[in-house]
Amino acid sequence: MPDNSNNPQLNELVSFIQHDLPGLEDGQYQLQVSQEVKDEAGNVVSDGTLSVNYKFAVTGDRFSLAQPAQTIYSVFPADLASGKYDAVLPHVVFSKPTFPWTRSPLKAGNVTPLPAPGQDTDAEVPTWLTVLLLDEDDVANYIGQFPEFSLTPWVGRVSDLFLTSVLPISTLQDNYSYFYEVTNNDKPLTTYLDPGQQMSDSLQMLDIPVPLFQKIAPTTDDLKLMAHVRRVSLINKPTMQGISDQGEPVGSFSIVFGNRVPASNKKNYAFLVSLEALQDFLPPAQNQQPSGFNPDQTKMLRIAVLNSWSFFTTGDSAGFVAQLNALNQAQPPVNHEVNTDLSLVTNLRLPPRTGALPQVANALEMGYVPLNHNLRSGTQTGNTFIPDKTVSWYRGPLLPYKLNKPALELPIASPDQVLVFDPTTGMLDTSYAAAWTLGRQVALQDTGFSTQLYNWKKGLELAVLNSAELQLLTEHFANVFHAAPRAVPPMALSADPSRKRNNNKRQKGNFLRNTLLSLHTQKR
Amino acid sequence: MLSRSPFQRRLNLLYRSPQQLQQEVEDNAELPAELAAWLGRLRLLNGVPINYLVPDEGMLPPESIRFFYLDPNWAAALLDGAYSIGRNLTISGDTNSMALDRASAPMTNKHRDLAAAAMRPGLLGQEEPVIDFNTVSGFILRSSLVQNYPGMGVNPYPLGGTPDNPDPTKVVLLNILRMEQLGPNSDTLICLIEGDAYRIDIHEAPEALHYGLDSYKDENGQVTSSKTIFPFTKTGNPQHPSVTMDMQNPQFLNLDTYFRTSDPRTLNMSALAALIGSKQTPALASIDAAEMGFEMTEGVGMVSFYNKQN
Repeated sequence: MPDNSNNPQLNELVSFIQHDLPGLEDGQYQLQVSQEVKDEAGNVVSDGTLSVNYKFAVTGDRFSLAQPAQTIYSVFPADLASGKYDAVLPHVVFSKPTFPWTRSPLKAGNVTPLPAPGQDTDAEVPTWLTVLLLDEDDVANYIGQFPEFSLTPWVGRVSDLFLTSVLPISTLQDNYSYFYEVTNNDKPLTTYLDPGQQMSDSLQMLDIPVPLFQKIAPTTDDLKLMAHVRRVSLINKPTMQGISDQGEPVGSFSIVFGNRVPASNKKNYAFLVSLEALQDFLPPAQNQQPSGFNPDQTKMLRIAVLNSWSFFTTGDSAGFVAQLNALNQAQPPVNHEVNTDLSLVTNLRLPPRTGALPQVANALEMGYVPLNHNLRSGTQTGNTFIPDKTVSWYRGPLLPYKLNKPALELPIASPDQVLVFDPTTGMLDTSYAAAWTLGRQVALQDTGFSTQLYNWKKGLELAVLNSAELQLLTEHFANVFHAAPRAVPPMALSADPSRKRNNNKRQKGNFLRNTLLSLHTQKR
Repeated sequence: MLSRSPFQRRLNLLYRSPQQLQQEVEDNAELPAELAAWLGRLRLLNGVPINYLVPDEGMLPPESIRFFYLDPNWAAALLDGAYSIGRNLTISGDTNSMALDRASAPMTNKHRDLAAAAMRPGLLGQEEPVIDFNTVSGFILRSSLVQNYPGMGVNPYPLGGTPDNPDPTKVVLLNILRMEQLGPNSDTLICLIEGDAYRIDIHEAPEALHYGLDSYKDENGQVTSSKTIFPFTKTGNPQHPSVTMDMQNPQFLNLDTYFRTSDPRTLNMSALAALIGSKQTPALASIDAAEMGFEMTEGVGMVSFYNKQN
C-alpha cells in the first residue's frame, strides 16, 4: 500500500465520533402541556390546572428497512465478493448517522434516557444492530438438534414474532422472539407494535438456535463499542443522491460492525439483525454469571434480518486496492508499488486487431468506431422504404488524445453541414452530425426547456424588430419632432420585460415612439 | 411615406450586421437562469446516453478504467443542437434565426459555462471556481467497485503538480466538474476534470474503512492472532479533541486470548478495548467506540493511475 501519510488531501479526512444519539428514540410519546397562574407570593390563583395531552410517535425502521437503498450506504465485504477476508470484521455503513441508536438492545426498564436535546453525553450507549456472521459449519453443528436451522432468511409477518399461544396465526410455536414476554393477551397485541406498524407487515427473519446465538452474539458492553459515526469530507466523492448533493461539503455516516472473523475458505453469510430489547439473550460479560433469566437452550430465537449478503473467503488478496490494481486486466503489482502495467491501454479507444488496415487502425487509435449507417436515400417498394446502407465512422465526445483546435463553424444549419467525408477511407464521419442531432433531440424531449427557449428566442426576435422600427422612425421624424433628442440613444431591446436594467431607456424609447406614432396618424 | 419596404430593408440590414446584432443582444438580453442551467448540465454531458459516450463495449470492457479528453467540437455540436430549437433548418444557413443565434451565442455560452461551473460546487456548498473549459479531461471507470464502494475519493493532479513534486507548494489539485455513476446501480462512473489530468489517485472512502486484524489463524481451536496499532494522543478542546497517531511507536497486540473460548472466531470486544487502552501513554482504563474505530480501522488504500497520453 502506498504511504499516504504525507498526502495533504488524505489527512484529516475523517473524524471518528462515539455516537450520534437521536433527539428521541423511536416510539410513542405523550406531550403534556399544563398551565397554572400564580400571584406574586407564589399562590395558585387559577381554578385548577389547565392541561392538554398530545400524543405523537417517532417512527423508524424496526424489523425491516423501508428504504434499503437510501438507508444502507455500503456493506463490507461486498456482496458476493471473494478474497482473503480471513482477518476482517464485516460491517454495514448507514447514510443516516443516528440509525444505530434509534432503538436499544436493553429492555424497556433498563434504557438510560437520552440526554436532553442539544446536550451531549460521553456515556456509552449500546447499538441495537449487529452483524451476525454464519456459515455452513454452524448449520452442520446444530442441524442435529435444530433440524429447521437454515441460513436462508425467510419472509414472514410481524405476527410471527408473537408466541403461538398468544397469537394462533403465528408460526413461532414456543420459541423466542422479540415479544417473548407477552404471554397473555390481556392487552390488545397491537399495543406492542409501533404506530403505523401492522401485524401483516412482512419482514425477513432468521431462526437461530439459542446456544449458537449466545456463543457469537456481542455482550451489552461489546455493543457499546461496535458502532460509531464518521464525519468525512465529500469534496472529492462522486455525486450521490441524498448524500453528496445536499449543499454540504461534509457528510456523516454511521457504521455497525460484527464481532466474528469470517471462516476461511468458505462462503460466509452476513446478517444485519435487530437486537431490540433482546438484552436477556445476549451472553453475559466475561467472568460474569448470567443474571436472572436463563433462556432455554433447546429453543430457537427468531430475529429480524434487516439486510443479508454473502461473500467468499477464497482466492487472493481482495478489497479495494487489489481490485483497482487488477483493472485493465493488469498483473497485480509487486510489493504494492505503483502499478505500471495499467498503462497498457488506458485511453478510451477500441484496440485494433492485429493485421488491420493502417487506415482502420489509425481511425481506431483516434477513437473512432465503424457503425452501420442508414442513409437518407433508398428505394421505395410499395409501402416500405428501404434505406441505402453504408458503414460510417462515429466517435463520441471522449477522445483518446487532446484535440486543441475547435474546428466547427457555429451555428450549424443542419446536421448534413457537419457530416465529414474522409477521402482516405471513402467513409463518412458522422460524429458531429450525431452530436448535433442528439442535442436537438434531448432538447425537444424536454418540453419545458424547448418551450422556454423558443419563447425566449421569439422575444429576442421581437426586440430586434422593435429596435429596427424605432431606428427608422427616429431617423424619419427627428427633424419634425423637436422634442426628440438629436443623438438617438441605443434603443432598449428587451426579451424579458421583468428586467430592471435599462428601464429608463426603454421608457424613453417607448415615449418617443408613441409620440411619433401619434404624429404619424395625425398627418394622414 | 413610411411603408413596409424601407422597414424590411432596415431589418435586413440589422440582421446582416453581426456586430450590431450581437451588440443589441449582449447589451439587452440575458439568458434566463433555468435555460443556462439546462445547457450547463448538457455541457457536462448530462443526458447523453452511454452508447453515445462509449459507442463500442470493447472500448470499456468490465473492470477497466479509461482516460479521455473532451472533444470541444463534439460538445459544441451537441450544445448547438440543443440551442437550435426555434431555428429554421435550411441548407443555406443564412436565415434571420441563424443570424440571431450566431449573435446571441457568445452571451448564452458564457452563462451556460458559468452554470456548468457552478453545478458541482453548488451540490457541495462550495464557492464556485472560475472554470476554463478549453481543456477538459477525465476518466471513465467500469467496475463493480463503483457499486460496492460508492464514496471512493478521486484526486486529479496535472503533470508536475502531483504529490511526488518535492516542492509541496507546486502540488495542484484539479477541479472536478462532474463525477457520478451513469445511472442508479450502474457499474460505470464518469469523471470530468478541468484541465489536463495526468495522475488520478483513487482512494478508499474513509467512511467505509473496515476493522481488520493483521493476522488470524485457528488451528483446532488454538488461535494465533495479532495486530499492530499506533497509540494516539489527544490535543485541543476536550469536547472535540484532535487526535494524532504516534507513528514512531507501534504497539504489538497479541490477541491469541482475546477470542471467546466458546467460539474461537468471536472477538471479545470489551477485553480488546481494555487492551488497546492499556497500550496508550498514559494507559487508559478503556476506550470508547470512536477510539476503538480509530485504532481498529485499516489505513486508506489508494492507487494512482497515470494518463500515459501526456
